[in-house]
Amino acid sequence: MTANGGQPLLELEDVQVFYGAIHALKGVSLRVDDGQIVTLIGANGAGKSTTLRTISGLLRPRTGSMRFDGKDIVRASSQRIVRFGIAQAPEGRQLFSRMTVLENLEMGAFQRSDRREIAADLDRVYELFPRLAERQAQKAGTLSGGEQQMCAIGRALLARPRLLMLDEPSMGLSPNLVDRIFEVIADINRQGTTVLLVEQNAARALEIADRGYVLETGRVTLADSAAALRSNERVRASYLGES
Amino acid sequence: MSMRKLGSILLLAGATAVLATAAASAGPLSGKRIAGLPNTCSKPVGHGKYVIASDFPLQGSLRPLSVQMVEAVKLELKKMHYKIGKYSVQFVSCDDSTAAKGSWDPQTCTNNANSYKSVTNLLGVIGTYNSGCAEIIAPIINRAPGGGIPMVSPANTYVGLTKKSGVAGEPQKYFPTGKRNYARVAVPDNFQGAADALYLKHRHIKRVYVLNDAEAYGLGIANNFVRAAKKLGLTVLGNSKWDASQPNYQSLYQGIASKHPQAIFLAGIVSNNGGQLIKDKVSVLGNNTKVLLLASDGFNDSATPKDAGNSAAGMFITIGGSDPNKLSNPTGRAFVKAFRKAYHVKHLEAYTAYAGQALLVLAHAINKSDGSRLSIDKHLFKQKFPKGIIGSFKIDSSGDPSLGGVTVDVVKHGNIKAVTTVNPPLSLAKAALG
Amino acid sequence: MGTSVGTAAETSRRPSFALVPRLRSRAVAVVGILLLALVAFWLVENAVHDIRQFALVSLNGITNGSIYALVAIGYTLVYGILELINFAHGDVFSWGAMITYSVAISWLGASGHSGIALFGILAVGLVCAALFCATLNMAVERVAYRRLRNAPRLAPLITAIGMSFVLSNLIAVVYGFNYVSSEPLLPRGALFTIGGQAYGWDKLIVLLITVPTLVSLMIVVKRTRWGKAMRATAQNRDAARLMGIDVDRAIAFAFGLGGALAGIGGFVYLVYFTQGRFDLGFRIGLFAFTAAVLGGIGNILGAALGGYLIGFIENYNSGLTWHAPGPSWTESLVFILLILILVFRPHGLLGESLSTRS
Ligand SMILES: Nc1ncnc2c1ncn2[C@@H]1O[C@H](COP(=O)(O)OP(=O)(O)O)[C@@H](O)[C@H]1O
Ligand SMILES: [Mg+2]
Repeated sequence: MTANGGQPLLELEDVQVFYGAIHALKGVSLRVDDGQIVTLIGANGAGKSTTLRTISGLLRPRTGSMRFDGKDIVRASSQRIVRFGIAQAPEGRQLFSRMTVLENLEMGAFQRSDRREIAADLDRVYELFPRLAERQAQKAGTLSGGEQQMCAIGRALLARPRLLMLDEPSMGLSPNLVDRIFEVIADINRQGTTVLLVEQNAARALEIADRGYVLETGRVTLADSAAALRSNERVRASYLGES
Repeated sequence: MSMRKLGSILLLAGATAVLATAAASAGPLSGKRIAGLPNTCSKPVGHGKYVIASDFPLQGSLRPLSVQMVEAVKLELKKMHYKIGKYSVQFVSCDDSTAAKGSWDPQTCTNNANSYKSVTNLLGVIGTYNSGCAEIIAPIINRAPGGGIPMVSPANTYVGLTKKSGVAGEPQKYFPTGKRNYARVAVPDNFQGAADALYLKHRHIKRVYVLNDAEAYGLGIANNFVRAAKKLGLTVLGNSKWDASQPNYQSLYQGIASKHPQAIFLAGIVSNNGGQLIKDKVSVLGNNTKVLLLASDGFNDSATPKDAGNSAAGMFITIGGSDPNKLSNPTGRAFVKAFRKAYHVKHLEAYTAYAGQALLVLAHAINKSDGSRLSIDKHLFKQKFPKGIIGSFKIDSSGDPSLGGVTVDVVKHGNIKAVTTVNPPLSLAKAALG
Repeated sequence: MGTSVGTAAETSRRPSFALVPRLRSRAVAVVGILLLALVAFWLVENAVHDIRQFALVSLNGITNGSIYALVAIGYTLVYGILELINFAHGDVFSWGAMITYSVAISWLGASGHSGIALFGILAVGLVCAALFCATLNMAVERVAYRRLRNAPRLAPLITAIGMSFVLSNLIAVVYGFNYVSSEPLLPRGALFTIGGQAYGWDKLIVLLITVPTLVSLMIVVKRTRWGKAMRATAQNRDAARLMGIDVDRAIAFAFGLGGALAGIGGFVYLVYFTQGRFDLGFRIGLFAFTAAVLGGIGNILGAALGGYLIGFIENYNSGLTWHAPGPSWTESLVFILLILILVFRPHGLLGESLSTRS
């Protein structure tokens, strides 16, 4: 029972990924429909980041298929995947620490050449995160954790993606900032960007998501609408901290 | 996959290195290799039970010089039909240089010396060219099982090999058994240093600056020169080192310029970046007419005009002994004529005649000996050669020749040509020794 | 500022050649200041002793330093992006000098020309040397290093040493083991004289080539698309991929840029010093690498600064007359300086440590 019943934007089928001999993804299938927020929840080491890294082309699946907007992306290079419209704010932010905030944001638009549009998107990011505008000349490595997360999200947005993937954006942030980040994610989605959100904070993620997947040791063990997951006993016990 | 890749790259590196070395060291091929000698030695020529080896730098800029020395030894042996008295001999030419260095190499000298020790029928070694290499070889072969292997050098000019030089332990340290096995026909550096100073005095030079390459030979001759120059009343403004690996020497000469020298004396070898040293001398101090440039025999090498180009024009280069092309004694003239004919060359390199003479000194000693190495060693000394190739001379009790003539050459149109001969008085040569 | 190609975001990956774990005691600082004061005193005393000599030798230091700076940047670019000491870089520089000899002197006969013709020939020589060395360095990366990018550190390091031998031996195969040498190519006339000593046009020309090259390089790295891609790759390779940067190309770009600079360095060396040999890159490479470490490896401005610093040491040491240790001490002094800098500033002169991260 899909929430909106939109077009599938991203589809993974039976994706298996290895790190050397470590079998990290043991056959992951998932689907993100156009316009949705889909969340991927699971314990540490479940394979959430591996899934996102695989979608971005940083890792190659050994078997399985991945389609984005109808196109096969299993063998696509990471730069082609960005060109197709997938951007990621990775786990741990991964900013270019010795570049300024502005330079980091500009790197997000590396593949684009439409200067005017880039400038407009930059303004939009500054609107979402006024703090970044204040700090634009500062080295990214000297930002606070929250500012770094804003910068990482802003950088991904500057690729003007159709699918924005966020890997644990709330990690290590103060409660106030967590609220702000989730507001912004909902906002970005409302403006038309599809979101694939990886979170350990399952409660908050399921609040704003349309659909969710539960990942356990490299396998999808539950897939349902966010509302259904919120009321699922197992999810409540394991991920929402209730008993 | 990475290891295979790495392997193939290293293989490629190795192959290139081997190729490059092989290209530079292809030697004459005849006969069978003599057991015990390394592949830096050629296959033997001649035939017989006994062996004579030469040891010279056959790669790099000294190759032309070395090749003629080898040929001169062969020429003399051929005249004797490879028979010295009752001993028939084979001859091998060994190389003490490496292609990569382009000059003699201490490790190669050591290896050669150790291998000589293992050849029981080796009657003697003619060599080396570089005194530094002789310093390594002499003490090793001095301890050979059957007594010190006799060694006669046509070109070692470093004083300390045979006499006290000021360096602790010289010359005894080259003869650890206490029994000497080394003689030479080259004129020792103290004669050359004295002659260099004397020549500058003849040219009315009063202020001179000395540069040395900090090797045993360069440092030694620089010191010989400085002592002789002081004795002659010249002002020595300084005696400093040049660093062969430095890209240029402009600052060095600018420091010297402030002392207003009338002449620069270079004590060392040209393969220690001598070309750049000469170029920068001219670019900072002016041409060689304005400030005279005099260099020791380590620069008496076709590489000097080649590397320094026009900057070498008018510089003087001395060399111990007489110009072989101008030998006037009958034996000398005959040698030159025979050599030119046998090898189709016009110009004899500086030590070609000396190499022939060195072989004769060794042969003479072998003849007078009972055939044992110790006996040959004993007879190396106090020999007389009234009709030698290089003139009439004696070998003294320390193995040095009694001839002290030094030739002064000049670089002209890219060639090195003899100008005059200087005969320093024995007293000045002794003063140069310190 | 802002000229660093970077190095990783993670503090753990930051390159530091620290010999001692952070000696921050006051005693060490005092010793450092005393040493600096001693050197400063020696320089001032020499300047007072003979100001003209001091000026001349300083000018030589700048000239030689420019060459070290050009070569040092190649080490720093590659280290910044791959954390690899590209030992073959010095030999790429040697190739630059030899190609210049072949093109400008052997083929185009530069020695027989002057004026505009000479200028044209030298310009062709410079472009050929830069292009050849850029291509050569990129080829080295493609053939020898790329497959080893995820191998243990030792593998590419040993390969780099191997490549160094390959490149220098290939020079020997093509040009022999002896020097190639030419008559002066650059006009040597005096631009001005200091105490009767000429400052020649050739020295100015060297600066007119090297300084704009250094400045353009910094602009390329700072402003251009691939310059930025290179810096991003150096700082965080995975993040660079996520931006859609082709990191293979960015790395190739770093090698190409470093190679071009080495080629220009080789060109300058040959036309200024007028000689070259297969082993030219050994000492120059060693000094240039030292310069890169002195300046803070990964930092372009630092590499240039280190290059000039070594140029000064070399020339002060052989040209100053008041208590100078003399030229045979240059190598020792350079390495003593290196050790001191690594003790007092483990990240080099300009290598900032990002310990301010919260
Ligand atoms: N670079 C790596 N090398 C080897 N194993 C890895 C690597 N990265 C992650 N793993 C392993 O893969 C599994 C999934 O990790 P990850 O995707 O990071 O989990 P999550 O993001 O859900 O916490 C874990 O067992 C982890 O140890
Ligand atoms: Mg994760």
